[in-house]
This record gives sequence, structure tokens and C-alpha cells, in this order.
Amino acid sequence: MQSFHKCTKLVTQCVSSFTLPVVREMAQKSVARATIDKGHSSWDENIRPVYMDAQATTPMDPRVLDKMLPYLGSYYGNPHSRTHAYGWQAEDAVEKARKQIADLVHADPREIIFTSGATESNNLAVKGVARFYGGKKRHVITSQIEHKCVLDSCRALENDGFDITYLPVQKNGMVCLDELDKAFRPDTSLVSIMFVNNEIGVKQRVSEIGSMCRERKVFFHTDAAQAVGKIPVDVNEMKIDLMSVSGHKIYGPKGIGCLFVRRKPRVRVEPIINGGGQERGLRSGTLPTPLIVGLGAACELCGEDMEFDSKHVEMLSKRLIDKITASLGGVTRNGDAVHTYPGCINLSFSHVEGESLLMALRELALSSGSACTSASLEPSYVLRATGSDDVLAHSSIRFGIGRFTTVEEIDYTAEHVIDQVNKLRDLSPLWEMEQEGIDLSKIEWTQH
Amino acid sequence: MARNQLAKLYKQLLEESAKFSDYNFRCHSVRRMKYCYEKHLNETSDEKLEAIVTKAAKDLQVIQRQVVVGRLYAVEHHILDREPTT
Repeated sequence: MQSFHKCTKLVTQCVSSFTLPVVREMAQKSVARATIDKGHSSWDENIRPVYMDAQATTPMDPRVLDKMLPYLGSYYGNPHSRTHAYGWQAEDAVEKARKQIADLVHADPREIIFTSGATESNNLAVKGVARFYGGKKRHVITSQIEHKCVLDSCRALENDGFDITYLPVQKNGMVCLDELDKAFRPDTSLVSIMFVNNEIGVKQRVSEIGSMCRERKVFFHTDAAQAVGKIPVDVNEMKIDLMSVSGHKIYGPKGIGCLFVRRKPRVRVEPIINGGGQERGLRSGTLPTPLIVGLGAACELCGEDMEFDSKHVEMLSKRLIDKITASLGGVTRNGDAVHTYPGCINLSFSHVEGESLLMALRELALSSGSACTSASLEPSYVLRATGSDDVLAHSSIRFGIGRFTTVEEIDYTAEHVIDQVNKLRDLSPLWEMEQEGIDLSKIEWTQH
Repeated sequence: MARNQLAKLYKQLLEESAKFSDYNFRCHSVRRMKYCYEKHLNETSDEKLEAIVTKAAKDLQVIQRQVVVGRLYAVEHHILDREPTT
């Protein structure tokens, strides 16, 4: 087995050193450039906008793609094939990736269950734990600003007769720990509170919540899709029992994620996908080796580059906020300025409609809420839960900063946002009235 | 010896990073190489320097491969890419 691996490695090295110059020459000659079918007619075909939507997804790091490519090519074995080298090779790669992910969050590799993404992980955690312990425990606690997949899973549990407490949040988006304390019941099986919110960036006090749950022997699940790899996460220190991770939020591939399921004290979960019993029976299905290798590589890189990335994102975040607030009044930051992930900035611009601002900013790729709810015209439920009135909620824009964002892009974004907000406000009679000192809340509007 | 190798590798890493056709990957790689070099500039332990040089050599191979892959699948230029590399 070892000599097989050594032989494969030697062959790979020889081949790559021989073929690389040949391939580089091909690339220079523009041979067989791949094109994609640009179905959407409103794209400007010639330019790519500045990408400021890191919470929706992140570009895959070239170093991650490099690790994945062999498994998208010749190393195509099924990791569950026990009888030949194709399978062993794939299994080795999967187990290596499992360790890379576990090391990032200080878990045991056996506690990592691969899924298709954080949505599936959230479904498995919420429904799986509630149903397993559902004989005696019929209560689950969550918050009003969770991701839709958690809220929808809770709704599905309610249809099955479970009681769900949706904790309100404070104006800054944080869960009040006293409210959580009051919400516990003897039959509570699970608390699910997301680590970093994807719309307003607020960072919950996960360690305190974990301690409260551990004291009361209630399992604690956190959707850490926006947190893992960006801020230090330690599942043991923070007393986390279940945690969802998403690949494409941390510069990895789309379509892969994992769920951390604690072994000590043991968390039992009823699977939502049945089949061949893969992943300790918790998630059946052939493991997608290339995606898993990508997720593992992405986690390893996040661990190595965390200091470098976080300093960069913090610097850019401060730069963007300072530039915008120095030139514009009537700007509200949604969320908390201190307990926040700096790469997610949600700003409301008074008297400017969010969608109009987005349409005016065609050279920037921005969002006014979460990607999974962007098709709806309803104001964001997260902003509503923080007490933001509908008008301000409609005028919110989310700026997402990531590893690959540059200083130039931030300056460009600030300049264009300031310019367009001023232009839109010039068109707004309400803004004009406010500038004249009129209190808009005291006006009695007549109907025509 | 390892220090000379590191300086040589650093120069190559910067040159290769500048060849990425994607604006964001290019800027990130150049910035990261500068950061890594400055971080390891004052490293005195020979053992650690050897490890850094080995890793830098591997990183160079990754960048070289990914520059090629990027060019095979190159897309439209980024709006801020005023002088696109060919």
C-alpha cells in the first residue's frame, strides 16, 4: 500500500514537471478557450463588477482548486469501494480532509459528518436531534434571526407537534441571555442560535450560550457557516454540541458542507437521509471526494491565513464605513458595531430605496438582504426582528468583504455609493423636506 | 543558504503571482507573498527556514499551475483591471 503511494507520487511529480511548460505554451496561444452560455441578457458582456457580496458566496481559492483537480480527473474512485486502490485513494483523501476540518474547529475527525451544505446540516441538526429525543423532549429554542433553513425546519417540527420558542433579539441583533434563560423548560432538547448572522454580521455570545445549555443538559447547535474559518472557533471551549459548516462561504466549493456532531457527551441524531449507512449512518450517500478535498483544503488554508485575512478584512471594513459616513448623513449601521464580524456591513441609507440603489450601482455586486430571500420584495425579516421600521429595512444594503477584496475595490465602492445615494436623495422630495427641518413623522398624509 | 533560496523563491513567487489573469487572485497572491516574506525575513532557525523554503517551493508550483488553468478559462476583465495581462 505504501509503495503504491510512493510510486504514484513519483509518477505525478515527473509528469507535472514535464507537461507544465507544454501547457503554459498552449495557454499563451489561446487554444480552446472555454466559454460559458451567458443566458442572462442584462449582463454587460465586457466587464466584471466589483464583488461585494461575500456573505452570498465566495470565490474558490486557486489553492483549493489545485487540490481538487486530480480528484475531478483521474482519481475518480468511490471512497466506499473497499476492494481496490481507486477506493483506497479516495478514502485516504476524504479522511485527510476530515482531519483538516476537525483541526480548524478543535474537534475529533470522527465528529465531522459531510453533507451537501449548511442547509442540509441545519436540517439534520434541528430535525434530527428533536426527533431522536422527541419521545420525552418536545421543546426547541431558536431565535427570530436564524437562517431560513433553521426557521423552516422548526416550522416543520411544529407541524409534528413540537413546541418552538423563537427568541426575540435586541435592537443590535443580539439574543438576550436573560430571555434565553427564561425560555428553558424541562423538556427542551435543543437550542439553535447562529454564530454570525449572514445579513447584519452580528456575532452572538456563543460561549455563554454554550455554558448555559451545558449546565441544563440541553444540546446546543450553532449555524457557523459565516463564522468558521473567519474567526477562531473552538467547539470544546464554546461547549458547542452541533455545528454547521458551509464550503462555499470559506473559499471552498459549492455543494459541500459538514455537521459537527459531538461524541462526548454523545449527541444522537435521527438521520434525514437513509440509505447505505455512510457517515456513521447519519448521512447516507456516496461522498463527493473532490468537493470534500476542496472543503478540507479550504479549512486548512483558513487556519493558516486567519490572522492575515482577518487583519485585511478589518482594515477594509473600517475604511469603507469611515469613507461612507464621512461623506453621507442619515446612514444607520444595522447590527452591532462591536459584536460583529467586520466583513459583513449592513447599512441603511435614509430616503433611498435599497433596490433603486442596487440598480444604480451596476458596477458593484451587492445585495440588500440574504441571497436566499432576495427574490421576494418583502423587507428582511432579520431587520424587522431588530425593530428596524419597514422604511429603513427597505433601504438597507449589505456589503460583504472577503479575503480577495482589495483596497481599490473598497475605495471604488465607497465613491460610487456616496455618488448614487446623493443623486437619489436629490430626487427625493422627502429628503428635501427633512433637510428643511420638517418632521416627517408629524405629517398627516391625505389620500387622493 | 536557505535564506538565499528564500529570497530567490520570493522573487519568483511575486513574478508568478503577477501573471494571474483574475484581478482578485492576482492582487491577493502578490499581497500574501509580500506578507509571508516580511514575516519570515528575520527567521534565524535553520530548521524553520528549511521548512519555509520547502513550503514556498510547493506554493510556487501551485501558483504556476493555477495561472495556467486561469488563462485557459479566462473571463471578461474586472472593471478595475485597467491594464489586463495577456
